[in-house]
Amino acid sequence: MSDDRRATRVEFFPDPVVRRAVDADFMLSAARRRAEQSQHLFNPDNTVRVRHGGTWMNPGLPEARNAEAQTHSASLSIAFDEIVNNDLDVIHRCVETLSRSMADQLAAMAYGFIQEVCDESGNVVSAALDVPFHETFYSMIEKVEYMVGRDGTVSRPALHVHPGALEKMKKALDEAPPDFEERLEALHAAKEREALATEAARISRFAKSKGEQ
Amino acid sequence: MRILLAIGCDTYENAQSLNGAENDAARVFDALSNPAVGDYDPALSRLLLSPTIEEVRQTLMDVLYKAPGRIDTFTFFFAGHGGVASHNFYLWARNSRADALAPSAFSLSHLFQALHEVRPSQTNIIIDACNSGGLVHDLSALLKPESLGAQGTPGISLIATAAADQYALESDGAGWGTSVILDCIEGRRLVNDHRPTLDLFEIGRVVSSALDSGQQTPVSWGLNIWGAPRFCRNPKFGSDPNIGLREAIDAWPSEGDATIRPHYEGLWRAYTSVAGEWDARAFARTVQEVVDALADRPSALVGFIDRLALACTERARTATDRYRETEVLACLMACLLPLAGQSPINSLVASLQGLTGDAAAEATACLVSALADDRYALLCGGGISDLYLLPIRISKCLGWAAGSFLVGPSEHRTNVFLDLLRVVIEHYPLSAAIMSDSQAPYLAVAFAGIQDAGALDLGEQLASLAFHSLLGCRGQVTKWDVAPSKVFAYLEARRTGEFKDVTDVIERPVEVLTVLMLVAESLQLAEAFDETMRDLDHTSLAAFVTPNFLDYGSERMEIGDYRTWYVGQDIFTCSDIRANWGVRETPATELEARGAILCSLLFADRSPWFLLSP
Repeated sequence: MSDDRRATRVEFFPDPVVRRAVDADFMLSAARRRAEQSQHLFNPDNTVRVRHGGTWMNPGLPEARNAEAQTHSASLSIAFDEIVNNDLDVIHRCVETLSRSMADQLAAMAYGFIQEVCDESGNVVSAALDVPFHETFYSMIEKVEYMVGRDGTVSRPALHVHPGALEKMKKALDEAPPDFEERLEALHAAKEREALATEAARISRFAKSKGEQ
Repeated sequence: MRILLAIGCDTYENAQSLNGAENDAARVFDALSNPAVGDYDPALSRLLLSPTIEEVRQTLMDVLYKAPGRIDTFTFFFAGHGGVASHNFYLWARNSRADALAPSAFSLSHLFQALHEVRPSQTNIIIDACNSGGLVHDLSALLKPESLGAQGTPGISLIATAAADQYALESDGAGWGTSVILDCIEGRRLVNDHRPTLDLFEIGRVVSSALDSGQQTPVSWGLNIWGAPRFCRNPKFGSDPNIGLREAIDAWPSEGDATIRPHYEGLWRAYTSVAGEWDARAFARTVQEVVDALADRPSALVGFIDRLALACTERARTATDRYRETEVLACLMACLLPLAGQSPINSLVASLQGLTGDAAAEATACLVSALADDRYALLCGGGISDLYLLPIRISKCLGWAAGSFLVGPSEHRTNVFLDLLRVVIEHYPLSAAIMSDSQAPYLAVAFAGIQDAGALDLGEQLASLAFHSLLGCRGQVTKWDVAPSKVFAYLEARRTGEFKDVTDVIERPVEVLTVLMLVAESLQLAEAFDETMRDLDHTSLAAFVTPNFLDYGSERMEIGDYRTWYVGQDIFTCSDIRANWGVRETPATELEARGAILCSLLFADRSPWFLLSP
């Protein structure tokens, strides 16, 4: 071929092997950081991996809500001058920017999904001005189903609130009447008993459990 | 045995007729079957004029499968209509139909499948047809090194006289492309005057140049790794036509065939790598095997490397990396360097050194021009990886730029190098940093070039920037051959200044600091470096010094001293390393010196210390 066949893109010692390896490690680093930032949202034991697209459904659990895969994406920009100036801090900035963006999208999706499910089921407690906060809190706990872990112990629900609202909630609960804590503990105990009973009923459905009975 | 199948098709039942195709085929047939030109066997060769598809297929069967012996060279010529359909290129016969090309036209895939079975040593294909550049669709599927290497054709060259989207033009009853090819074959155009025989491939370059009008852009491609060029005799070779003929006749039997045969699969793979992701050492290992096998036949060896250089440099020009041709030429030179004491190998080594210098100068001029248009032209994508690669790339470009005039002195090349150096210092000062010990040879050659050019002020700035970056990381640079998978971790360590988790990628001892300390005095930087030397306490330095300069291209240099020094033990100032250098080894000849410089730029684990040592 003539010299004209040279690709129009001209490079000088590009080293694509190192480029690919660094890009891959950069993405791994951002993914690890994203996982750290999202770990408060998801128990790793409850995290599953899907390989294909389509709908996520549980045919044996008609009450479970179907869902579809959602794509999260983030982009970042690096100024040529940052590279030319060999500014190594750009690595940290890019990892944080990318992982934060992905973690935020993941959190928004998770909270949005929970809200949709609660709205659909009516499992929502609204704060009312004429109801003291501790009573609203009590109602909220009443609506939550406690879960039993693989080790057989009951875990109490986790509360996700905006950092600014947390102090207000603590203060309101501290100002609750003296018998509130006792009422709340009694509710916790009842919920835990209810969870253990539900778990025992679930376990009893296994053939081995039936044989032991 | 040399067989030609020439086909010209003017008459078409289902397409517009042509005027010059039959004439072109007849002229090519006459020329190549002339013993003084092509020496193709007229009894076994065939000329087909406006044949049907059935006649084409039958004739191909006859010439390939009924030959009375092994076919050394097979040449296929076609002039007529051509076209691409469903990613296949078809040659139109008299009765071909546009709506049924697969059954009614001749596919190049069919030809290649037959060639795989018959296995001529060299195949030449000339297509003078519209859209003939479309045959690359077939090539990508058919010319895989594994299929060629394992099954047959070790050498193949082709010319398509028009690009995939162009018409092949004709005038006065002759195709433009065929006319240029015949001019080369019959001596009206010069291809070269130093080889007794010609490759179709090198004729293709002349055709490309001659038809460079924008209306018709030829495509040529090829590699001949067996024996002498086989397409035709070179009418321009030598002043005495009898000498040319005699040498040409001597050249037809390829004396290296049996020796090269076991390596041709690897050679094809090496050849195809030249345009893509290329590893100089892997390429050198493959070539070295053939060089070693032919070492006792210098003439055959020279012929082989000469042909390989021709094909590989042409292919290297298609790479996006502008320095690829430079490195390929240097690599071939490096493989021959240990034998450079013999004639005629020494002549070829000197020639390859000159060509390497030319290619490096051309690439550097391209780089300087690109930087004038875009000051970020040295970035490759501008991603995170360039934080590591850009400093290495800069020193490598500076090294090759200096190397271009150290192996081929030229005021112009010197000025281009200085232009590049100024751009680096003005626009890339913080990337004139040290990341890897692989930068040692590049900087050694660059500083030798700076001293040669008398540009000490620029040298002082470059050395200061490099030394400052070494101080910043306390001499913790990567090994010259660091695994790509470790580079990101190193960058993180470099950012935080905490290297304990990447100790396995840090080079010890380092050669790059040796380079900077050696040049410090001449650049009047010794005092400044000495004042901060304590920050490099415990750093070990090294230099591998060999008296055997012909061994500079070897993967492992066996003879020499691995000299090491320690900052804080025997080294406290720059003058200490000069005082404790030991014996100075210098090359005996210019050829050795140039060979060592180019090998150091090619293989980053060796430096040309003779350029800097006291």
